[in-house]
Amino acid sequence: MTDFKLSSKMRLFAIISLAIITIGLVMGTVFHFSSDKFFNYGGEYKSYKSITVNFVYTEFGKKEEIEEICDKAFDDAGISCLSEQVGTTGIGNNIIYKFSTAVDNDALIAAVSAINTKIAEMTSQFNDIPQSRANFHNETAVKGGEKTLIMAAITLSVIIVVNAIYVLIRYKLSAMCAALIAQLHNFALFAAVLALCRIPVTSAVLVYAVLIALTTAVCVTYTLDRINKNRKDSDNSKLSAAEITDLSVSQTFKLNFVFCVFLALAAVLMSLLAIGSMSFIVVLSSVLCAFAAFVVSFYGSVIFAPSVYPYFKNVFVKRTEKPLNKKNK
Amino acid sequence: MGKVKSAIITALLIAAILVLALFATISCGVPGSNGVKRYNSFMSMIPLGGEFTGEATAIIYPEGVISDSDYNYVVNDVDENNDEKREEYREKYASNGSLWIDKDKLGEDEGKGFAESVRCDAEIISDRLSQKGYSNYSVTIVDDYAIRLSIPTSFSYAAYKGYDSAARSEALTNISHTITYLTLAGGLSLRDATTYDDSDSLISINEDINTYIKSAVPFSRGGTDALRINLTDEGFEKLNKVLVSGSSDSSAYLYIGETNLQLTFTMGTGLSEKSLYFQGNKSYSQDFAIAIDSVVKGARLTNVFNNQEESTSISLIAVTPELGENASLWLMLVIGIVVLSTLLFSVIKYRGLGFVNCLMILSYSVAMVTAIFLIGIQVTVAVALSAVLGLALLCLTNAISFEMVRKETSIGRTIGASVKTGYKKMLFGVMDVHVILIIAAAIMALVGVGELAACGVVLFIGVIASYILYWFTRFMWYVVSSPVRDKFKFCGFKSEVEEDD
Repeated sequence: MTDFKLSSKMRLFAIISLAIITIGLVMGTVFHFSSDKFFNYGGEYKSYKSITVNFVYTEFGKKEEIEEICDKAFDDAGISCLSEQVGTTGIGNNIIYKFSTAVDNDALIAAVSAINTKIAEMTSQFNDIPQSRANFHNETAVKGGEKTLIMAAITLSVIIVVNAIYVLIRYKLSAMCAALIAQLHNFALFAAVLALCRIPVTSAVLVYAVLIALTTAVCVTYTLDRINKNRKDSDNSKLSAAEITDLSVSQTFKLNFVFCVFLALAAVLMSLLAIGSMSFIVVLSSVLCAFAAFVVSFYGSVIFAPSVYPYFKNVFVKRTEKPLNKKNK
Repeated sequence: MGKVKSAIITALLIAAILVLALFATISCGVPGSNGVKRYNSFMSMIPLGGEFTGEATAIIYPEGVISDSDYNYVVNDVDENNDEKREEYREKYASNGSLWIDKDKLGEDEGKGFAESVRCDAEIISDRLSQKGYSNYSVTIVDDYAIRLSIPTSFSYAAYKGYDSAARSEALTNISHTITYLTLAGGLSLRDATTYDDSDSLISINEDINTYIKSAVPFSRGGTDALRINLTDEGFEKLNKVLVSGSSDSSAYLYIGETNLQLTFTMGTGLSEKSLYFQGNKSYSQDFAIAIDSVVKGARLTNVFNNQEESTSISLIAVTPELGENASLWLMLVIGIVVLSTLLFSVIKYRGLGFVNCLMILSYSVAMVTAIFLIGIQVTVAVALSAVLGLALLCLTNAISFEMVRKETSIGRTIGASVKTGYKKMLFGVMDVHVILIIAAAIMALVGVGELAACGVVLFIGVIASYILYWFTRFMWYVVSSPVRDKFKFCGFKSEVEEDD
């Protein structure tokens, strides 16, 4: 059985967590003042630049021909796209290439010009003026999606509060403090990791934040239940709160670890679906976000929370002892 | 329990799982239909999020803005009869990237005011779309003066691959309707004819019809969908007067701007209650509710979009998903790998008892697919992860109980006594975890929007399934292990005492 003495390392874990949160906060603040964004908003909240190519089947039989022209134009201009989406119109296809806002406008305009020149060259035998055409767009995301962010924040807050109240009813005040600290700690740590690593914040990331709260609730509840059982066990009557906590963590560590690792691997595997987007950055950010979510859950609920629980237990025990001592005097 | 009874119950359970799994996963042609009819499995009929089946994207142009292709279509037209129109376009429009803007619209401030009005309209449209409950959508301003809307198609796998063209067509029609009605500009009015130009307002110019309406919401009961408009007290009285004063062979029509919503009020008869119901398609009712409610609350669009006269009608294009064309297949593969890994782990760790756990894992998986199909929840990566969380919870609680039973056997108890004591000791711990997650899932489903709400519903089902299967595991443990002599070996435990038969 693994033997942990987490209760004596509360200060160490607190320093580690505080350091990560502080660095994340600093990083987010720097970006907030430099680019007006604390987090790196991605997906549906993100502005981008695009090159849209509309082509008709009467001029180009296959989309691969157009893709070849576009790939060459992008290579010559020294740019690469974040993603490619293909849509079917009644008479042809519509290909949308999305680029980061950091890509130079002149390079994009040059690429569009090269594509249109090549299209005109290849269709000159059919038409003087080709129907197929490429266009460059600047696309600015609007703020309306903030409602989703706000509702997610409210949901997360309510879950944390309800979890704390339930733990208070079942396991008393010191357990509630530990559970609440674990939840707030995990949320702050995850937010710091997002700000630090500039992981794109999409609606899926909001769901990850809530899943962290749920995973934390499961692991902390399991550990608290074991602490409760060990405290009631006559064999452990002479052990202190810290020793009972360490014993309980040792007993529950393996299953908590397997639970979090299982979820982390499942999340990473699902994030690897982004490989289909053929963009390394998209894949890396998805995998990083999924991995970070469950590592944070594990660290906060299995390592950090048990290290603070004995502290609160002792605080509340001392408080109940003081009035008793006063009465005895 | 005897060998025969045990075998029958186990066989029945396996048969039930197999049959449900077949219906849930296998799609095939219907025998005897010569390939005309096709049975689509539950999995292939589940609506998928935009990251798997792509989005429907459309660019909407405010009045005074046209696309590059529309401009070139007129200007490059060599027909002599169109010389006048060609000249008109050359004089009227100025280039702005891929757009052509009416010079009058640009005004003296070089179009800044116009761009700002488009930006405000985009925010209102985005707010309206957020009420549709899409898993994700995006609204972007294109080159300052046009708006691109990207809405998840919510195709099922069958529709995405072309095996269910009716569903595909219906989904795109609904999206087109949504874009048309959520981008309506102007205020509410009640008019006496079906076309704006031929009609007059039935409400006096001194009255504000917005004060008549408290709210508009989509309504559903017994499989029937409708739009419900709730009137204020003042609205009920005044609207009643207007309707009663009209002739019984005429009707009144609700408009937003110059667009007739086709919501008809019969004249000559009064209203019986303050809530009015207009029956319709679920998606359409929701669109009308959002549009009317938005206008009543003061969020009106300034610009009229996609004016037919400027030949820029809404062109909806279904684009492939950003995750690639086969993302939905990969998702099924990943989920298959996750389930397979839990099955293998169970059997390796707990042997015969692991087989019982496998039955529960398969039951959970099949039940979850069936539930998602029946409720029609849109599956995204996050929703799939919520389902996996429920599976992980089932495996965790079973593992906790198995380990507790193992601990009891290690102090010399029989399997039967250990199971009883072990489950009793874990009763409240397991219940606590499930109660916390049920409450959290309910909060997510009720408070969250879009993808978060869908995750809440799936997690709610998953947690309930996990708790029921947790107790069913104990029952099946007893059933499957009954005919076995060496129950310790069956469970992969070490025997400390001789088993009492």
